[in-house]
Amino acid sequence: MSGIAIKLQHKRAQAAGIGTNAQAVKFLNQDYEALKRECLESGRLFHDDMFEANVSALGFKELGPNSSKVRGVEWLRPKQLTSNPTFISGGATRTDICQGALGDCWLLAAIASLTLNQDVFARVVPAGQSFDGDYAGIFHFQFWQFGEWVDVVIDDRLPARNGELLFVHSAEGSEFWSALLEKAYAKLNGCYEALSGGTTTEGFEDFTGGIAEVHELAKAGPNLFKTIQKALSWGSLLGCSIDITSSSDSEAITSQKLVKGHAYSVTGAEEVEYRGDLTKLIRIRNPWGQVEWTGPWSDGSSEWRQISDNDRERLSSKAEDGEFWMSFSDFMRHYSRVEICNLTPDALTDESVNKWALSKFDGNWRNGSTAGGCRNYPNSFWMNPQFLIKLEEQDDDPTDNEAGCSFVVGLIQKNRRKMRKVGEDMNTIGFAIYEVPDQFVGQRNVHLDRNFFVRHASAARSETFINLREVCSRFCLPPGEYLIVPSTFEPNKDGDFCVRVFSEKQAEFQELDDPVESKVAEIEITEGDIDSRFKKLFGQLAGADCEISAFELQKILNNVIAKRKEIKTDGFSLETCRNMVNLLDKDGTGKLGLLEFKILWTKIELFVDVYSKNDKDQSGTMSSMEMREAVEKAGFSLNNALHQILVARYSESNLTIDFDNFVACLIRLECMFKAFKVLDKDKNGTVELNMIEWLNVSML
Amino acid sequence: MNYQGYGAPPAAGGYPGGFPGQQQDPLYGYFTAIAGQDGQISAEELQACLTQANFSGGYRPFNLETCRLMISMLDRDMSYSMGFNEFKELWAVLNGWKQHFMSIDRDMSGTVDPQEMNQAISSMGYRLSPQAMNSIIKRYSSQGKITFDDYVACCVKLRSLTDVFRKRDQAQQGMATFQYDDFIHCTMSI
Repeated sequence: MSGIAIKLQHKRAQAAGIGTNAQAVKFLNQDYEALKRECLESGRLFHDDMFEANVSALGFKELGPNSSKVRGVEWLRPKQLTSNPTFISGGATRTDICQGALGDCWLLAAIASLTLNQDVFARVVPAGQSFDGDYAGIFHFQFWQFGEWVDVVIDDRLPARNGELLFVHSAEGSEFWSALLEKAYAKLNGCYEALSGGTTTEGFEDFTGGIAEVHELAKAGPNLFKTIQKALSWGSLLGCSIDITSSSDSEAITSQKLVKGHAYSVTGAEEVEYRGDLTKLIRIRNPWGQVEWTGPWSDGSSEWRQISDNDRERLSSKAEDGEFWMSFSDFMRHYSRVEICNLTPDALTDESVNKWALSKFDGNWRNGSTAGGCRNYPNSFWMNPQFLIKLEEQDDDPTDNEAGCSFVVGLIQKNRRKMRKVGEDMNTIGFAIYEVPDQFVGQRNVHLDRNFFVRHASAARSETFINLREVCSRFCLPPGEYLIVPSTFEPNKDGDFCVRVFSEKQAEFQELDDPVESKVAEIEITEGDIDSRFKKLFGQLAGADCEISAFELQKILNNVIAKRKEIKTDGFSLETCRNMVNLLDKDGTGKLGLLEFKILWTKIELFVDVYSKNDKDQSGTMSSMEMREAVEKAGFSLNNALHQILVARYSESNLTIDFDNFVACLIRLECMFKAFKVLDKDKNGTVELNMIEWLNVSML
Repeated sequence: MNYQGYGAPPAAGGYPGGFPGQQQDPLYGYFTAIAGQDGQISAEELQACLTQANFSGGYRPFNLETCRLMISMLDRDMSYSMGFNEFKELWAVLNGWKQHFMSIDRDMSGTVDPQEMNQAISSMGYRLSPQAMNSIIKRYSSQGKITFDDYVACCVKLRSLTDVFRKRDQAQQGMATFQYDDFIHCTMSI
């Protein structure tokens, strides 16, 4: 079975381009092979100007420039730290990871678990790197980042004080792959301090591209031990921890030498015959490299003498290297949770190997247009991006007679660690799943609106809204079409995300969005249609040249809008008026003639009506969320990306849309739709332009 | 086939590279005074920032619409705000355009005439048709004169639209293909 697992890993590794440097995205466009060649030819060791060896690479607060913790830090290459450094000595092992002065034990636990699976390890730590022959002071590592693998290049200057590494180090002190890996990951996230605090699942995922689940031990089912055993045999990565009750508990040590608020690795799960019964044992590793459990089955405890010699030899471990056995029942009693990163979700419940299917979509939440918040906010929840999943085949071997389709949904928020230095951190995220009603089954070009969500309860949802990088839940639902709506808890939080669905059977998964269409009716007006009173008014306004300039238009519109008390506005800016004149001017004079002016006037009368009707809170201004519905009333169907663009371009920083921006937006929108139709002569939905043509149409 | 227009603004001079940390960048003071904790500035804040830094010098400060265009030129994640690195990039680009404008506005009147504008655009490497040039000049002139503010707005737009075109002309053949929604996205975002 494990042989098949390895094959599956290889297939997925190949599909992901693992092991082929050329197929991993080059982080910050740094090409390891090219840079190394350059260094060897010039005889100079690599200096990475993308991650300078100075205080900014260390941190921003606790490790910031003014912190006492960074005093006396110097950046040294391994050859300066020890006479005979090695990259990997005797294979990568768990004792190569000893935590330093950074609170990134969650990451080190994931790194330690990484060493248990050489196939997985080789993806993250490409082979052939060393301090021998062709050493150039340059190394690289590969990480999974939200759906793609990136190759991160670093130089080997490491932060040290008094000749010792500040952060992660090996037990022997002369092996450096783990310290260099940590540096590469720090670079990927902005600085070392950005790595402080996190969950092991985050590290697991970045090392494997798999999907991680958390099992709370207080609520765990009876099959957890078997689940852990299977996960280990499938090459999954596992971590575990003990919850803290207050911040002072963090990394406190219990009387039996367990550490609270600290990320351990699970490295084994075995059963032995003890006093006539089978006893479940679990092996745990502390990344500190010391402080081990002193209860039953600990090193040197009396229980070991009462099992067979074969079992004892099979399970033996060295003293004080951070790794220890304990009974599963003690584990359940003392620990709080297990994190499992599955390379195949099927491994959790299936005895046989099944093909798995993975679907993935990227999306974003943008303040004012697509950051709708959770279902507690019914007026905006519907604005969140919507994804459709179609489950067609039931599982082959349902568990506990529960027929249906099993799938795991993971919602991961991107790049939040980098935001720490500006005071931001993880958003609180989650998702809800709705059954698609019959009238929408099979439709893809539709974004379900507020009415749908007000009238329907969710079929399922993520267990909780939480400020973790990823929220992941397992579901079993009857065949059918379902809508997945990811959101932040509160509305108006910017963020980028990736939503993944692992399913036992092939499942169709795609984003639901409105089409981009203009349904604005053409206004056909001839001079004969214009009444004489309007003509006379135009004559007065336009003056001798019978054309209205931007200045004149501004005066007219501001006079008119001042009389509409229901609209609060600072008036039309000259820039808005110039934009309108330019877009509507058909003869190139830079001014509006009678017909052009009449058309514009007619549109603005409609826009006043739409604007005031969509100002639902009677504030006199329109919020950017109200804008979404107003644009639809004005005759345009737009997708999420376009709604985001309109808010970005036309709203004030307090997310209101002033009336003149509203008008400017709609006029431009209509002109661009018209321009495309003119260019698309053969009506196939595609136009090909040279630079001159492109600038001609879009500079306006 | 050679391109007729892939001009870049003249390179800005004056700032040595290799700052040890962004805290020592002289621009950082202007930026953080406005940006505060979140490290991002909106169009209104950018306007205030450039005005406080007295960027326009003797010329009229930038209007809000020009500042919105600047943000959309460099805003790659549609967050409609600007971080410090983008601000630095903008500052360098603006300096280049300012030097160019000053070299044309020899009488320091604060404006250039359409013919001078035509020369300025051509010297940046853009080869536009007479019709397009005429439209641009009408669009960006007031009473037949182009102010520094409008000159910058025009340059921002040219640069943004050129970037969009290049990204869609991956084979470097001088032709870009636009799908319907992509066309609307691009034209509405700039």
